[in-house]
Amino acid sequence: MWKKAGNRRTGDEDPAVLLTRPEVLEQIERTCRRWFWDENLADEAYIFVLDGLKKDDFRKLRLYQGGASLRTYLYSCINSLASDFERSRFGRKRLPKIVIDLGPWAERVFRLICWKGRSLEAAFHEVRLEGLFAGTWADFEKESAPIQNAPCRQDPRQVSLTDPQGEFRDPPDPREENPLERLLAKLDLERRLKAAGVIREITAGLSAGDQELVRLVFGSDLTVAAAGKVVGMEGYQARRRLKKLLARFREALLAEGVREP
Amino acid sequence: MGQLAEITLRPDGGKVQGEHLSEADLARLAEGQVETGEREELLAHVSTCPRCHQVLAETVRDLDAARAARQKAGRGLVRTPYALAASLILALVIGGGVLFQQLFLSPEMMTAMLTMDPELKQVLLQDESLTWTDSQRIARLAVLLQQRGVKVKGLEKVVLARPYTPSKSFLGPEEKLKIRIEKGVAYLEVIEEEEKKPPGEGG
Repeated sequence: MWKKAGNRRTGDEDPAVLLTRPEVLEQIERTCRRWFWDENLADEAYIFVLDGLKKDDFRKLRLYQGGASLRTYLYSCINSLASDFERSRFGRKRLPKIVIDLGPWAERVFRLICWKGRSLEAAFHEVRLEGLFAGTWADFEKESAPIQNAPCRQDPRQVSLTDPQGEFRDPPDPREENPLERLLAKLDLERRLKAAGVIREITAGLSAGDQELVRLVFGSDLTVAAAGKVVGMEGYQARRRLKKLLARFREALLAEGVREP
Repeated sequence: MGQLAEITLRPDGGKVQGEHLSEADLARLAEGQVETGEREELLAHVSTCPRCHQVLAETVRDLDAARAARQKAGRGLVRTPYALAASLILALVIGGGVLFQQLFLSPEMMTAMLTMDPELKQVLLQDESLTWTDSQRIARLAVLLQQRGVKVKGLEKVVLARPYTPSKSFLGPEEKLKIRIEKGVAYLEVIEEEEKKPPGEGG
């Protein structure tokens, strides 16, 4: 589209002008707020993304050659830059000393809770699944107590990670139709980890297309139609496929003795 | 979003296959604009790469949100159960008609629908004539259509339903190019994604 700098084809828009459009800037802001729960981080990400799009005479935008719509391509660029920012920031951002002293598991917990707005429970689930923490929930509660005194940049007050006001609580999940989430949420923490292990194992054995279908619908809460498009299926085909895959998960979970309470 | 399921299902990144996908490839995947063989290759990487999976998922989320926002704004929104029934019947008739034409009528006639892209726009905007006779312009269109999977043979003339003006809003409805090719003549119409309304739909 803009293969050469300064190419002004009829009907095409100069990237410098495109990036001043309010709807484009709003989209960048919306995306950054979604990626980064910490407001300050979201603001920094916004600048990073905008700079990334402008870099080298709007190189990313000039690389666009069709295939998908320009809008979708722009979405892809914005999300890609947000991901780059996350990786660069989380690597170098200074953490409170008390968190660093506790080790990699504590750093992950702090990032999840303070920067991503996750619950303590979700943080435990992640560090256990990733093998960063080996203890029980009781161990985790005890050992993460010092993290609770670490200041969180989002709020100038020193905010407790188990703030009863619910600042760090998960927002209510409106997608109650997500059967995997519903199951995992119902189980106690130890059985949840067992179930998660089974689900991971089954998922790893699926074809790439099936893996992505499951992840997009049950992991990312996207619509079946949208996920179906990615893997080359119509909505009804994707729905049918997911039903069969859920049956496989159910069978494997029952075989491992995982039952809903 | 279901955090527990998201954490559980995330690719672990242990054995990432291939290089990260380009933004263009991720955009094409998100829109479903990838052929089967290539799609399998791209998904083989995405299914192992946390980074590309997340970018893909968020891009699809943005697409879905934009679509939902447009529907909410009422463009092409079907407002009554009777209008919905009418539109379904119309869709069946039209869809069946197109299929019928493709299966049973003369092989010289074919129809297709493409998403507008910059190259197609450029050839449409070359001048304002509704009927093209310039052989170079027609040949250029034929090449573009063939590159996008539309079988074109012996195209001699092109007729536009109406003059084309590109959509002003960058994040507005997607433009589609409706194509009918019959006896060496291509009939083109550019529509916006939710433009079609069933007849008799109330305001």
